[in-house]
Amino acid sequence: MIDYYKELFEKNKENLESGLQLEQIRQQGLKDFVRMGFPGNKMEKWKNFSTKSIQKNRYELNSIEERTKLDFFSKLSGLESPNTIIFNNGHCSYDFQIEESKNGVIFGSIKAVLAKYPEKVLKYFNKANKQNLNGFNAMNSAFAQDGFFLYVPENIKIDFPVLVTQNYNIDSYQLINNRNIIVLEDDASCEIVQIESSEVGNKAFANNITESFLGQNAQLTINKLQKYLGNTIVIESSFTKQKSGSNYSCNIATIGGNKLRNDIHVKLEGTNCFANINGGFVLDENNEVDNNVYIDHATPDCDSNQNFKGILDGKSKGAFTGYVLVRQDSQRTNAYQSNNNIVLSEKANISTNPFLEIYADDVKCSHGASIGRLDQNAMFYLRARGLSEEKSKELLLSAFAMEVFKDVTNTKFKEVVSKEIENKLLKD
Amino acid sequence: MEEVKNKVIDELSNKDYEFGFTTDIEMELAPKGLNEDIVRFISEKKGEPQWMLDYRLKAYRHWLTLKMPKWGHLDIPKIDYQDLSYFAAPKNMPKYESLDEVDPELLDTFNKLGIPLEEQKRLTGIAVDAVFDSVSVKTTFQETLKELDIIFCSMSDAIKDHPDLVKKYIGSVVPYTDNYFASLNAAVFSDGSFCYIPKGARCPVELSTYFRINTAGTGQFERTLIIADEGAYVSYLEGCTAPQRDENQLHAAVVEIIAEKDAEVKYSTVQNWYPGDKDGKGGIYNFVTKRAICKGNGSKVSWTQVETGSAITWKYPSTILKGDDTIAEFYSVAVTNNHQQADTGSKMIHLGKNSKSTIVSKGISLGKSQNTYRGMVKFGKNAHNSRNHSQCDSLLMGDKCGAHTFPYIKVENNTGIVEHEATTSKIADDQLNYLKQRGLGEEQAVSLLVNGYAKEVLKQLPMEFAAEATKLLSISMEGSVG
Repeated sequence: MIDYYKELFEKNKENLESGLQLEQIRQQGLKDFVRMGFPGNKMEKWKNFSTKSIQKNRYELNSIEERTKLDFFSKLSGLESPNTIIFNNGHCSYDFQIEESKNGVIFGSIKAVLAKYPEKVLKYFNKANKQNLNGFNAMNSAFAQDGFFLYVPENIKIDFPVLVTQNYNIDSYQLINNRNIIVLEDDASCEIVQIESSEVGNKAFANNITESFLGQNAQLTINKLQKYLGNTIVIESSFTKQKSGSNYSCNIATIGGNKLRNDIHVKLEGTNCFANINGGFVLDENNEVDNNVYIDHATPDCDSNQNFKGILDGKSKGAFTGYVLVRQDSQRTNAYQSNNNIVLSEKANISTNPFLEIYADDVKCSHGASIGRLDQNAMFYLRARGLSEEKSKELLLSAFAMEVFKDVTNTKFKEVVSKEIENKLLKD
Repeated sequence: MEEVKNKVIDELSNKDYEFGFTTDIEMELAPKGLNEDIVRFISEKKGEPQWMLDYRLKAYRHWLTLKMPKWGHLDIPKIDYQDLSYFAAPKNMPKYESLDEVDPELLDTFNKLGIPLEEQKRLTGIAVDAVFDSVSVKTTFQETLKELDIIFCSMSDAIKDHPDLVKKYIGSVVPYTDNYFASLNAAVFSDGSFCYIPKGARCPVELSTYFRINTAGTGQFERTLIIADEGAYVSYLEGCTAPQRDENQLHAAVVEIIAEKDAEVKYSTVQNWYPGDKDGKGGIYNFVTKRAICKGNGSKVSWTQVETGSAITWKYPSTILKGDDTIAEFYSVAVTNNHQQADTGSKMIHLGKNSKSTIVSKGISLGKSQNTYRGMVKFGKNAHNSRNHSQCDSLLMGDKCGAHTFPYIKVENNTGIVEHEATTSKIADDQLNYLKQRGLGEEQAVSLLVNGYAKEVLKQLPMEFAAEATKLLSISMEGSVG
């Protein structure tokens, strides 16, 4: 299968380069991919995510650029923003390519930005995903086609949340490799709302990477809603580097997903950083979601927080692996990790692995994990007050899941998520 | 304050190993190296029946197909398995009728170790099976046990005298195919303890085994088998020491525990193998497979371990909760100092309904050591209404050491409840301050806090052992407190 992708690369080399001219990065990516191949189940980090279904199909490189239908916006009620970028099957919509503001903000498709300001993009490309950690990261480096690029200069605060939507709807086996880059210079601040979705008939496999760079005292918030239908397979890797005093907050709401993996890597490179990673997932049927968070405390005086909650029904499979690494000189670190899950059906199963690796002594690190069922006392309380069984269940479960988003300031995003969770739960 | 703390840490780091003497006794050694002939040699030396030899050979052939596992959070220098001697026995070791016949030097060794071999220890009510290097030396208290039909003897005696029991149970919990070291052990195990508690019997005394590696360049491979038949109860203790040597020695034991219906087994161990010197030279590699099965309904197994020794400890006392309404417990204190490394924890595999398990693990890291908790809790499809609570805390003293936690939780049943908590921190300044305000010295305060931290585990130990363990901890932790 590796040979197949080698051929695919050779065949499409020119095509790829004409879109995103990366040269050396692509070659290195292919080399790393051939060397590492697909991660197998025996690898510690891939135990909960089988790559077999990816390996058995011969994915073609996606070249269909379809215009976005405008009715798509009707799904996003309340989240519309003046700064919107729309991706359809991995390609940026025709109407929107690049937007430059007077204050120096650059926002657009990475393809367009690379063509206009190659040095700006190449300065950051593969700088957070330095080593192509696994086969899929390497594959993305080799086959990257499009994605979005956001640059916020010093002291600039973007008032409106930036909206990025991604929708997959291809009925053949196609490969999508998006690369997103977010750069916040010192004291810059910005919020990104990402809506990712797919249609029932979709068969595409998306393997995306987001690289984020936070300057001193920069503030980045990413609020992400993932709602995948059909046989979509998605691997979303993000690599974030934080300079001192910066604040990174990432909130991911996952509503179903045939096969979805979120890899979140955060490296705290300056003092007084804060990384806050939260996620809630609601799964049923044959959904499979694997969340992995790696936080590297490379400097002293940083705080990190991970809070994930899952609700599992049907035959779904959920997994959470949290990893906190506190290096030897990273004194006065506070790291907190929490993963709570409710299992509703007999066939669902869940793995949770909250790991701590600590080499400094002046630290406060703790983790908690729990797996259980619905609190029967709480159910009784609500039933006694006249609520139906279904409604009480829905109320308790959505309160349980929404707790992870309590710090999200974007109330509209919260409303949308809450509604999606409610719909998903009531459907069951 | 930093100064005093550093002083405490320094003194702890410099603390000498108390059991580091060697005993000069003529030993019979197997030639170095490992091959089928060695396996046959060991079997023959022990006068074993053919089925045992076949079992060993099967295990050896399987071992050849395996590779040394690498997944531990450990830095293990390459071990040359051909450079070890797999059998060392004190020469001229006929069976002794009474203690008077035992080599006085050997007795002296046991006295130094504080092993209650003498009859006077009858008062303390402990039956002891002492394994010196690879051979069981003397089992005390036989008569009392005989009255209750309890069998407590060395493994080699059991193979001769109770072949049916051994045949039935050996390898039933830890098969020779289980892992690299279990396979090696099955091929070359030299001796160990065997214990069988018949139906309904309650063992009136604590059964105890002491292990000691004495000869240089040997590996010790004991095999312990504890069987508690229906409704039986036994409390079993194990202690280990070794002399100070420059080179590393390998210890790869296997412990199997079987608890039938309504039986209860309490297994406690104080592991104090030689940990190597300040610079990490020498010390024992302690790669042990310990597993229990709660086979019958209503059975209970409890593990308690105090780990202070060994250069590298790599072990996970585990329990398979097969029966319904079964209970398993795991209590552990692991102290690592200097260059010691420990990767230890427990596995709880829930298969039966209403099974309950508890894990309490306390790690203390000092010096340049690495202390890892690795555990697994798994609820199978039929483990309805099961419950687990795990608590693993780590305490760091010194900025060169590491404390790591790797819990794995897997649940395939929706009626179970799993809770896991862990914390990693140093001794809190406000707690120290509180104690100091009340008139305690800095060192006293540190030691009080550390003892309080480990108390939950120590109180699980039987009286006899608790005293020793507290002493051991105080040697490690309170050495400078006066």
